[in-house]
Amino acid sequence: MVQKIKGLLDEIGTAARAYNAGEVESASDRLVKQIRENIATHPKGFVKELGVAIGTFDRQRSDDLCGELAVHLRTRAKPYPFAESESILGILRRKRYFDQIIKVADVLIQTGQDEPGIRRQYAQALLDLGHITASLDVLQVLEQDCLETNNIAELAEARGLKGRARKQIYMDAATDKRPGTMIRQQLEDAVLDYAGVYRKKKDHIWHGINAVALLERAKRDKISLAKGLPDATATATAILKQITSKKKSDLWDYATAGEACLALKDYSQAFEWMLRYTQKNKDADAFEYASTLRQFEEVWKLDDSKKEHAKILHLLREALLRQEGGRVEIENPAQNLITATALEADKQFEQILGKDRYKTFQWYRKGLDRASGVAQIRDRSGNGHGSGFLIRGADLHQGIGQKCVVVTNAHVVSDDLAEQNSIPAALPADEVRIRFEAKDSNKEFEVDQILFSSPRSELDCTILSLKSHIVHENPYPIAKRLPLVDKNQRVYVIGHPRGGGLSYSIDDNLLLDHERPVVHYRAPTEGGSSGSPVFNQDWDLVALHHAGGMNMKKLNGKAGTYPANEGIYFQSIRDAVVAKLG
Amino acid sequence: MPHVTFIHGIANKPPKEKLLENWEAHLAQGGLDLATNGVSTSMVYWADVMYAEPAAPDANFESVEEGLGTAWMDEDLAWIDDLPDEEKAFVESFREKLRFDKKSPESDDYTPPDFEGNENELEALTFEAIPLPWFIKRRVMKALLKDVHHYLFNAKFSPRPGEKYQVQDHIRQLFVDQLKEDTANLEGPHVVVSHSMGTVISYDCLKNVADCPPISAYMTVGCPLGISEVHDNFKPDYDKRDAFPSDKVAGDWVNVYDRLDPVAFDARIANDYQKDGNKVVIDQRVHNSGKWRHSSYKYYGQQDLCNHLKKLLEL
Repeated sequence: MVQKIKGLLDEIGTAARAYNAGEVESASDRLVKQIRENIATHPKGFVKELGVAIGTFDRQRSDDLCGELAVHLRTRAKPYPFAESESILGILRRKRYFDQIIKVADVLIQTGQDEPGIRRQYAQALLDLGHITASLDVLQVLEQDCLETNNIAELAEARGLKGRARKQIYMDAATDKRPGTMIRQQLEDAVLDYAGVYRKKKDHIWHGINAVALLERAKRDKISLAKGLPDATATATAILKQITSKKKSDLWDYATAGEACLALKDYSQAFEWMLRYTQKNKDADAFEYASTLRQFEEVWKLDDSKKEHAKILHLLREALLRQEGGRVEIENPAQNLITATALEADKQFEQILGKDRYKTFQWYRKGLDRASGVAQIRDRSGNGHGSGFLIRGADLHQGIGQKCVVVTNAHVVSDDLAEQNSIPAALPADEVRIRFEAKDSNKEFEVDQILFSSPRSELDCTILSLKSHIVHENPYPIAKRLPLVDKNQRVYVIGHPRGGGLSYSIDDNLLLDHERPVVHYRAPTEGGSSGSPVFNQDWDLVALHHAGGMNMKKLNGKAGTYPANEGIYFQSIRDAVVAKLG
Repeated sequence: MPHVTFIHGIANKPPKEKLLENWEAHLAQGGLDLATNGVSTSMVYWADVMYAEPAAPDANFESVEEGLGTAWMDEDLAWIDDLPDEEKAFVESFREKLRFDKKSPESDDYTPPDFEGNENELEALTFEAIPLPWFIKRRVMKALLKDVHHYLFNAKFSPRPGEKYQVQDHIRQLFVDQLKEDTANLEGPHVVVSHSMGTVISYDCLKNVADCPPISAYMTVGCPLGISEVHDNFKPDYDKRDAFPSDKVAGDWVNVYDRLDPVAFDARIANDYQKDGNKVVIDQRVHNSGKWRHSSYKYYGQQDLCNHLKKLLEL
């Protein structure tokens, strides 16, 4: 059924684009009319269709559908129904399509659908995209309106979001240097926003626990707050009691209880709650785990070098990575691998996790280990140009021997002038500096020579030997075959997104299709991932990541395009190396 | 792409797709994710020849010891009464071997002591040693007796009103048709993996059915092929020195067993299924957990089994 709807949506997207471009065909015309009619007369059906597109991470389709919605809204005589408007924004929010929320909410509000629930979601999306001041402005008006209309529920939500906005102002400022008075005031105001809501209604434990987290953060940062604010320990104790006395707890209760235990410095209990929070659960998704992880890293400042903290952080990262669309950013790769390896060897930890969960933890740790072979390709000035990875030479060609070589894209490194003069421009080998963040972020390697290169129009691959010796304890196993295209297989890309230096990300992607020599996967990878290794679910190397786009041509003779990333099948690279080197 | 054709064992089973999904999931837990490694799969599903409708998807035939008592129905053995003499003699002999008529030393719920730790000494395994409650053992053995008899003697059987099968003829056809379909687009090794009674069927087809397509390698799991009443009743009869289905199995045959599996009696079969007088079947012992050692899920979760299967698939 889902496949059928997806197929229909495919046609609708293509048809809508053709229609808008004036390339009108009668069949396309009918499909566009059908979707517009759906928006106008069957809003529930439209919400369902949008849900399918977003549920499958199909950004292009959701763009098309939201575009059609905006066209319709501007022609209506009455505001769009509130329930469906709220559902549409909620669906978009679930997959963090914040820019689309803003676009849709903008038009909804402009065309009269300005209920507090819609304005709240608008403000929330602004906040999520970092437009904090704009968000606060919307929230202040919303707060005032809620006071005038005595809308208690939305008032609490608006104040909670104000607290969140102010918290973010503080977090953005409190990095290396001590924030000044004005920023410190934002922290105090955030506590007041959260605590005020919780004080009035104890059911709002989300507000309560945020107040606790900020009070604790103020203590850690040695910032004195105004007198009369609640006591963090007492509030955390009360929240924990509230949750444990509930007959039925939900996922958020577990996360909240975990935070309350952090405030009480009871790390083993915090770990127990996080175990429950991260058990396989149909209600959980990658974005929820990501936001909890961010809260624990940014606000609570849990530290990977402390075992009690690392246990909790690894648990969250592991849960995040096994969710569809999960993405784990690792800021201190070497430290992460050390603590995860120590935990894997800890029998007590194994017992607590249980057999199945321990296996997923081992799988996650293997992923961290794979990162130790990932390289950042930089120029002499230290600017990131792309990624690469280590592979044992003999795994490509016996003649290369046991030494490790670096694989990257030809559009990242090449001595071919055509590659250097193209966009993006490849770096010449003698200008390349290579770092392995998960091994030693201070050490740089230079290129000895290019052993093999195939231009971007072919395999987009360059293989480099290094001037100095490098040890890679666990060379990547190379998958003998590509995974089945069964709509369940995922691939993992490890690279340096945005050319960043001190972190790497592991991205989870749905495998879309493959046709030698290319592999397609749906992915959140960003610029800078060129040259990254692509692994299958067993963490065996399957491809070299090289490109992505919203309109990639489908493979195996299928008509049309889709948003996809593209990798080069590693066995094809190996075959080409063998053919060239003999 | 390489391919695995599975065939299931005794008793009723969940619907085909669910059973296949479960087997793949348990292999993945054992360390072999077939789809990730580009291996396609199919299932020869014959439970619907013997049962009116599939078992509930969560029926506990395979995994949870606590649910076994309700999952295994107590088969009525009235069908034995009407058998011709030759078949009756087979059934009586098999019954004696399976020993399910033997009285429990204590109550019907009696479960022999846990053998963890000393099972290595259990070379002369007896029915009494199987650590399952007596009444469950009896039910399992009754199901085995019925399935083996109906298949080997090509009994007529009607699982549902209006449908009647010659059991062996029909299941042989199912197996051969599936193998033909699987062979059509093959690029790489083709392995048959059979569990329990499925090994009787797959072996019979590979050895005795002329138009059964050849395969690359063969894996039997928790199989009753070592029981003399089984291997003596394959037709045509053949010498154990030539019992390996050499014409149809190009590569290895790996047999995986647990000494406390009540169905895998006489579990090591290399001696009974020789190739040109040589013992070539690889008998691989594993230790399944808990009391219900015949569980396909437990077998597939075994790393040793997965490692053998990886080799057979050339992964």
